Amino acid sequence: MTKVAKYILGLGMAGILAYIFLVLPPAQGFVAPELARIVALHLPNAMIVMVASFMAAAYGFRYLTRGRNPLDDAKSKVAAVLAMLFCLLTTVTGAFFAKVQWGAYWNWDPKQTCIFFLLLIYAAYFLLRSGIEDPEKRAAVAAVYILFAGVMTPMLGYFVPKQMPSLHPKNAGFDASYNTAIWTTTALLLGLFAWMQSLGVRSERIKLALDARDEER
Amino acid sequence: MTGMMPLLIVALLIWAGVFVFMLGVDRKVSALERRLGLDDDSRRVSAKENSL
Repeated sequence: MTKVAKYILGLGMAGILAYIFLVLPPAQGFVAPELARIVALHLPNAMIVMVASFMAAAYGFRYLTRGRNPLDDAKSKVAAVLAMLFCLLTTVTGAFFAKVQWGAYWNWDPKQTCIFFLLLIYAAYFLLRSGIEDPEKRAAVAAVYILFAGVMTPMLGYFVPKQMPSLHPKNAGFDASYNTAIWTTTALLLGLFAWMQSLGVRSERIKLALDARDEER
Repeated sequence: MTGMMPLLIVALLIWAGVFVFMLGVDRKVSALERRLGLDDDSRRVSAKENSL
């Protein structure tokens, strides 16, 4: 990521935060219409979880099918870390929304329950990785598991909760400006995700290079 | 609108913290890459040396 892109991202995110908190109109049909604007931060985070999980699964698949490159495993792992991070951010912003609109941080609503399972799935991925010592075996098992997580993410994040009655608003009174805010935030978060992914992969490459040097000695 | 000001300030402070942290990590990773010869410039030089 170039220096200019980083500063555009920094200023853009500050700008969209100002837009969300100062310009967005209150959403009608909510207990606290002013605070419904949290949605403009909550939804984009959830979309990044999807992107990160697909990326993790794609690199896992590539690892299994294209010559077992340790860098593909590293890329898959970094994307999985970011999927979990954005999943946590989605949960936290969602919990604040739940507190102001429904009176409690946690209501065991189908979407909340599903995201809880999703967090468990990603936590299990890291447990699995830490439980296998042989790097090649670890990478292969992790790649298979992350394919499963990649399928479960849209299932638990979108399709399953959609079939159940939920506290989550279906036809909420959001102004059209909410769409602008949500999509702009998603684009900026995608930029942040790309930056984090590249940083993570670069540090994994450093680790691989150091390991290779140690083996040579 | 003014009621949202404290929340905006908190959000901006959190973002500033994340941004500065990311810039710091980026700088450290770049320094390590240079030291190990993993950065783009070093790779270009070694590719040229290999082709000669």
